[in-house]
Amino acid sequence: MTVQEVSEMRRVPIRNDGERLQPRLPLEELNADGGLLPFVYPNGVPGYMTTTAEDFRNILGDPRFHAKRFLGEPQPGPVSVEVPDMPGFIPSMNGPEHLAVRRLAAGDFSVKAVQKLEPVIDEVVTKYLDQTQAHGSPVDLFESYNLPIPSEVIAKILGVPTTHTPEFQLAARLTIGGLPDEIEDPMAPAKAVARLHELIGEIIQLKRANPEDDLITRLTQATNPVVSDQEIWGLCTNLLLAGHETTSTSGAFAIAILLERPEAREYFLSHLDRTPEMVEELIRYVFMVTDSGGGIPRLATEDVEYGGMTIHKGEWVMPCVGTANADPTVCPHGATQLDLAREDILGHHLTFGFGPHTCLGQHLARAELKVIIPKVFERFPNVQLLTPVNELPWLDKGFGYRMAELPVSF
Amino acid sequence: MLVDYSKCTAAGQCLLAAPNVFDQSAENGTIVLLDEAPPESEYPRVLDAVNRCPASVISLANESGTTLR
Repeated sequence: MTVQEVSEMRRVPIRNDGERLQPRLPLEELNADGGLLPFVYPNGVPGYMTTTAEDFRNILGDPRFHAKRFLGEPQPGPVSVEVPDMPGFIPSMNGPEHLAVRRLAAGDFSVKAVQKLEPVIDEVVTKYLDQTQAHGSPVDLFESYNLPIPSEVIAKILGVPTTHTPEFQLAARLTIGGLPDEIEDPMAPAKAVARLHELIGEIIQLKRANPEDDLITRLTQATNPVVSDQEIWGLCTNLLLAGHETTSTSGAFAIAILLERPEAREYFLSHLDRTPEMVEELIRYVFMVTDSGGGIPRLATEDVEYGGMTIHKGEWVMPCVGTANADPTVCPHGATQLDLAREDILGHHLTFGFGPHTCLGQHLARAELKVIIPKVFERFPNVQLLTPVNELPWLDKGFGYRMAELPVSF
Repeated sequence: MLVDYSKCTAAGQCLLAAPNVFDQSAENGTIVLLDEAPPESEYPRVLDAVNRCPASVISLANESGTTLR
């Protein structure tokens, strides 16, 4: 693309009227037009965005496109950030090297490994329900319930000793950004990542001295390939970050939807035997609404002929979950609406991505959300929002957004 | 049924789609073929697994070896 061509490109039309529970992109229009939508990111980097499920799968499944993050080169995004290279951080690895490192952790996130974790998830959720109850009403449910649960579950999978868990969770909490702590210290998220590095380093040494039945121990003992401490750190940081913000914020968002829409709440609570399907629909809907092209961008490593055009080497394509999840081929009826009665959605939406980087923690995320969402209504039958969803504070990240608090009474 | 283990990204979709035919390795999460020639009653689930696999690991061939999909 030339500068002239880029300057003529239309920008992705993101609605910004403060309506939080409706899609921000004109999804049906984008789906119908199809093709890769050329546009310029707010940081000036040109790129394309996928607008259909087919394009989403094709780009993410094509090995000529590399996932790139944390490489310090100008990337498409709301802002340009310099982030250090991190060995073992699988979202920016590609090809056989990526699969080799990913498989080191994959056994701990398989369908059956997650099934074995269900009692652990129940225990952690109950702990934070108890704490929320002890705090009393009113409470910020995001802070007291949704935010701490995923990091505690991941800490247990990694094998973080209980002595280290509170500090591990505190660091995890700060990495997501947008919390009140940053008003006092804008560097809080960066410092938290550095502290995580130190903590995981300490834990690696503890596990080398006293091996246990956990993921960090297994990584220290891996022989094919042997994993360096740096790679263990990158991989563990990745596992934490990938499963922490996503699960905590999407769970809070799903609860907010049910609180805001009495008919959806009533349907959900009277069909708990369909919890897996209803949670799947909430996962589809939440990411359709909140994502407007904010995923990990793909870089063309060579010229690629695609859909009658050439994507040149060095150009970026952003896989858009929002348009993919609204695609009639994924969701044939009323895709832009939430429909908890929807059948056959399990595993057919694209929230968890596609291709070699497909979300490793998707079975864990489902298992957690299947407990997190219904349990809050079971424990607190009178739970109500204190502030309408559209008036809540949100962290807006340009191509995606998430809630920052969820004040409720119960 | 042809399975390309080298591409498997351990996403577990095949097991979710057709649990009588596929499993995941406990060690690294990659595909385990439980039944190389599943009965016809499993075909719809196997086809779902083929379509859902994010890494195109599973393909189907007829008896003469021609790839069907």
